[in-house]
Amino acid sequence: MAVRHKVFKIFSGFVDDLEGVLAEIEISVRPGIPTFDVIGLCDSSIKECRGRVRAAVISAGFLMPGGHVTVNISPAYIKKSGTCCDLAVALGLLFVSEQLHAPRDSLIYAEGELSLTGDVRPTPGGSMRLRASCAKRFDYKLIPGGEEIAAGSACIDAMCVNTLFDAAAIFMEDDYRPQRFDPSMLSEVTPELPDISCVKGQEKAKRAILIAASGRHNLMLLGSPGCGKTMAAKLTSEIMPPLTDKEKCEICAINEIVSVGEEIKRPFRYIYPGITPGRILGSYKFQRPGECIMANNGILFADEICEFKPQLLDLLRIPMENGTVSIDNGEKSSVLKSSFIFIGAGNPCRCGNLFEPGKKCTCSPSVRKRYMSKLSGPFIDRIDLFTEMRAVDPKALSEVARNRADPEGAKMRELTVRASAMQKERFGEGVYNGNAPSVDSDILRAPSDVVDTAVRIATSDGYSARGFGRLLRVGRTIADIDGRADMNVADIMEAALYRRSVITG
Amino acid sequence: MSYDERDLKYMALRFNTGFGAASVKEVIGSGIVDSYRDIWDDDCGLLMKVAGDIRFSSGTRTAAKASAAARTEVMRAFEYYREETDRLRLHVISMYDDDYPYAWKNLSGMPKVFFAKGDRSLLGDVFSSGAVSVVGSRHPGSYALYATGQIVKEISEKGIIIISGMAMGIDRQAHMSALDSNGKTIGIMPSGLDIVYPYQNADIFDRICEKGLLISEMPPGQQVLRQYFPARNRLIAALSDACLVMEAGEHSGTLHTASFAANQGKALFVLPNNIYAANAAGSLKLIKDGADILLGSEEVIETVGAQVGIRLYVTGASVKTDKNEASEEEAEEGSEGYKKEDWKKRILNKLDIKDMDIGTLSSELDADFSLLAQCLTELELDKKIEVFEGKYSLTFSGN
Repeated sequence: MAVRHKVFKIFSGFVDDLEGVLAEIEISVRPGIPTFDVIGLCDSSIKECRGRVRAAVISAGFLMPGGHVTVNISPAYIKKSGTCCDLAVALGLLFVSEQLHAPRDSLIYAEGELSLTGDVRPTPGGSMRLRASCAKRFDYKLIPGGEEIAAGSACIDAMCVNTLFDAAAIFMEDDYRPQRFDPSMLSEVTPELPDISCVKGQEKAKRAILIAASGRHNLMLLGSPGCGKTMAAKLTSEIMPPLTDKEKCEICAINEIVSVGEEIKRPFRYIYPGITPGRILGSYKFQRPGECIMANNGILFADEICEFKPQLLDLLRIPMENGTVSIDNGEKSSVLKSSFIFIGAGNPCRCGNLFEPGKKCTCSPSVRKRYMSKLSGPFIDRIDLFTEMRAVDPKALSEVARNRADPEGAKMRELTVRASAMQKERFGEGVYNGNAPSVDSDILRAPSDVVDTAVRIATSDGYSARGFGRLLRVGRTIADIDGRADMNVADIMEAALYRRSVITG
Repeated sequence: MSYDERDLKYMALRFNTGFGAASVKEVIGSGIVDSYRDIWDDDCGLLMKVAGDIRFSSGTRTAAKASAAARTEVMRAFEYYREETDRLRLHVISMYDDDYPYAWKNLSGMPKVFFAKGDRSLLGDVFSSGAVSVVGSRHPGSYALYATGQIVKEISEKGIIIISGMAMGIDRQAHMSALDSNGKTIGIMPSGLDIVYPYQNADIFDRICEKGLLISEMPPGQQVLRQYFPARNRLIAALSDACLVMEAGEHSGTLHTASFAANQGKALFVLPNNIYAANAAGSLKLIKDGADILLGSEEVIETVGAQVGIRLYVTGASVKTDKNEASEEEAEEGSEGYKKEDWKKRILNKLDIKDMDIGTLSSELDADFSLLAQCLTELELDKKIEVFEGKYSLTFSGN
């Protein structure tokens, strides 16, 4: 007696190399002694689905089909891991054993991890997988409850299921009611009123922070230990404008790789001198995005910048220049967005008291010079703003403590919102003065006298062409903060205040 | 480059054994030798004699015994000094030489033998034309640097030799300014003459070797040690006829030089400075203690002239004063421009009192920050002010 060899196709996804990939799952059942094989370069997290699927199918009240069960997950040449294929495998088993029936030629996408009791659970990486699922038009798209944020960032129509039985019921009762998920559902954690006490009375630092947050310029804060550099860097992220939908999606996609259901806020990532290169760029092996990918759309803060090994900082040069990181594992390389504001903080000299009024710097000039020369020229060249910081006057601090709700922080945020709007109009979304590819004086609307002044300052300082561009970019941001369409000479004059040569020797 | 080998052997003994200056003095004072040159003989006979003679103090006897025991070591050092002296073309100058500084003969504690590199005739010039030592902080303010440059230039144009210590800051400026105005300069080093210290001064080191003279009481190979600086300072003070203190902090080593100069009876001039200046407390205290105030180069030149009795200086040649009235600027093209000029003047007035960082300026002037920033950049571009390590100061060249 010839038995028809039955194969059923269903779709799911996995994350390969920080990139979502659509997986086609084929399930076949042939008569014979019961076995259950999962093939297609799966690691043990996927292979273990056999136990979960078997138990969940029985818990949901179905029968586990007898015979040789073979599950092939393709593309079979990519190594894969993760547990999100469980639901698809279980549903596929039910279809192939004809316990469930789907409309002919319908495309089904399902993802979620199964528990032994048949519950469907969310898994990390949802945002990237669901975005990859948009490549095909699916008739059914089932996602676990708890992946709503991921779905919102991927902008899809799908139905949430909480148990395997719920999922089966959709096909038994032909009751598919998809729901629209889009980025508007993603809510940013409502930011509190920025606390500007750390820059109270420090006009230059305050202004530099405002410029950095408005035009996405890289910033260097130099000051004595304990003068509030870290607070100032945090403040920069707090006064940045609310996240756009695109930013939310990007942030969510990266967050989702690490954990599920993370709240969405502007990233503030902290790197320290002992960090490994793998942690900065990301390690392929553990599928963990590096700090500079996590910092996308936010801030990458390097504390004690002078203590960093030069090789570590030089790793950041390409992301700072291109806004992308490319991770290469030998077989393939993938390019990920990594567009952040770099904020470096450090002591101006070894004793740290160089800028402190009333304290004497005990470093000799050669020690001071050597201290700053740890930062390589090409790296420093990518930093637009340099400012000194001083310990906040205790008097100013007590004033802040008395009226906590300082409206100045809110005002700074209004200014960054205005500046961002002007830049969006000029460059389009996602491009800012700090990372715009060219400094065309027509696009920046810099009249010739402005350009001449910039040239004059740049040549007096022995500046590179990059230095000239830097003056124009910073000057443009100052004009944007003021809401002026055209730049003027005063903008350049102010921009020149944040040159490196002003605060170092 | 002839010299007496016994001088090098004496140096080898002094710098390689415990046989110190006090022991040398004791041995010579006892009358058993005529000269320091006889202390070391190659079979150490005299040292053994000293070691066994109970008239000498126990310290000297122990040192003599130990030195005799370290005979091979001393001879090896002597060989090394001889090679280095020839290789580096050093002069070995002893108190028996004609050009041994006259001033040192009359002071106690001066080296009996020292090394020199460069133009040896400068030692004669010190006698005939006079010399001025210029000392000060290693990280001076722009005012002291400027004054050093100007005054040294004026003094060295008169043919007076400029002596300093080859350190950074004022010392460097003094040597540079003397070299640049084709004057004569002597650098007294704290280390052996084969070592360029500090290395940043390698440029003037070479220039002085060519046109000036470098002196050290240390043999070649001797590294810089902290305790050598005061010793070097005493030589600076002793070689000069007048000592100019340009800027000294409260605990500055420059004050050593000043007190050596005062104790040796040299004229001491101190550059007056702003009482709020960060690094001038020491020099201002010297003024309070009665040092002469440096108001220009004339008085220095006069003092030196009187000291050495030269006829070079007859009338005070016209020496420019460096205070010019700032040119009045007309800024009447509209209120905005006028306002800015007004602010610029206020900034200059503030900086006239002392150097300030932008935080202090902004809190003292209570100006709109953007405006302040623009004014500062414009003033900097016009070279009216300069900024270094975050501090703004007035320039001297611009006005």
